[in-house]
Amino acid sequence: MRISIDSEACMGTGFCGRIAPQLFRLDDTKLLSVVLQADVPPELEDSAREAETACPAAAITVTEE
Amino acid sequence: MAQGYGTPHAVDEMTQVTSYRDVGAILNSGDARQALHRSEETASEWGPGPSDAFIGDSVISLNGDAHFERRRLESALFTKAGRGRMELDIVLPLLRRQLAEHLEAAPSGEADLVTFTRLVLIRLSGAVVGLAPIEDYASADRLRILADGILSGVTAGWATADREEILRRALEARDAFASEFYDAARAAATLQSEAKDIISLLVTTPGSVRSEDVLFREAALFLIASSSTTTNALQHAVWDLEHWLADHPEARADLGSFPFCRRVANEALRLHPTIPGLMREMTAPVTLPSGLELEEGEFVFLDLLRSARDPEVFGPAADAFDPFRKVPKGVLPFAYTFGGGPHMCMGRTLAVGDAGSSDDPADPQGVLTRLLHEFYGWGLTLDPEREPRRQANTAKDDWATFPVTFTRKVSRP
Repeated sequence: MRISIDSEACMGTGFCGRIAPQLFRLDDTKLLSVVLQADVPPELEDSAREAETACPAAAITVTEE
Repeated sequence: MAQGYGTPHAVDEMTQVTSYRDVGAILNSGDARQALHRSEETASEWGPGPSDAFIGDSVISLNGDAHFERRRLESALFTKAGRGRMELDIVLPLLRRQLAEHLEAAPSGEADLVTFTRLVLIRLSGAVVGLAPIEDYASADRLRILADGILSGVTAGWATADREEILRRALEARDAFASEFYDAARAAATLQSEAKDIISLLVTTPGSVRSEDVLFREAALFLIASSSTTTNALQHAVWDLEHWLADHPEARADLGSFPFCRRVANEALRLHPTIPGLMREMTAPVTLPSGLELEEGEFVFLDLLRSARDPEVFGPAADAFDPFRKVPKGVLPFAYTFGGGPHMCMGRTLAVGDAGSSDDPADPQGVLTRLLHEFYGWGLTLDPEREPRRQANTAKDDWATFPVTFTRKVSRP
């Protein structure tokens, strides 16, 4: 599984970083979220999917491989 | 001091924010809180608000951690698979059955698009809330009437006449919704229920709401919110599209394309937000992109109508309907019709799909996109004899009736 953030769509709510802090972090200087590890380890796949669905901006894409 | 704040009556007293980028900066700011609808916390500061009796303390009214936790829980209903089930397993079969039965009963093909669409979508709302499946038109129509009544109460602040009478009737509708639909669904939900709708999700998550009253108001919110934007936007989309097609007849060939229908939906949503504006209270000083400085404690009105027609973002022809409009990177094609930031409407992707939506009819396209595609598949045309009529006595941009004719007995191949 891989994750990405559309930085043009991201609204910087930080929801993703609260749901999956190992995968996302809110960059305080840009007020946008960034991906910490694009390749998602199996134990974090559910969190990645939850972050995708919960993102108010629909800015996260999860790609199942 | 703030008795009037948080009600549309007080809009003129608030700082007006009208540019697209300023509105976005406030919606995305962590230093602004919801001021149109009240939570327990803000109601204790500002006094009661007009929508409290219907949606007070629901997710739309919360701020901070309480909002995050409620929203995180409820967003589980709107996964791509969940949206696909709502659109493809509920809306599409209902729509096709209703169209076929309607055309059997009315061979002329005449229909009122407002009522017709609402009858389909109210059953989607019922499924999202967790009501028992609504099989017959009479029950669907009854629920539609009650939902419209509750919605009129929630938005009574925008009414330009008869506000007290609207609120009185809305309370009657709320109570009838409870006794005729909600109470049975609530009684059927237990800790062991499958969490597949709002009621079961909250019931099976102890502590997610603080009382049965809040659970009911959350259900009322989703009853009116899960389809009202789509219901309202559909008529605007058809009206604007038909007038645009008069000058672009070659584009009729595109009506079978989901991406084109999505462009039509986005443009109609941009030009016709469901409510004229949003309200926020600043919790810290903020300087907006325009240079406007806001103070802590300042109430602001975010003008959705004007910001969606901001020529600096949408170009000199921002007032015109143009499904081929190109917007700058990072700009929402539907502007802030669904709000923005943490309070962005949870049903946004249910309405218009997401960035990954394909042209495959087996994929969720967004209900508004799907309805446009499907209605034109059945040969929708404006009724040449009867003009659509807008809703009177409200600042909201709604249609009262929208006569159309379906010219095919089956959908396009």
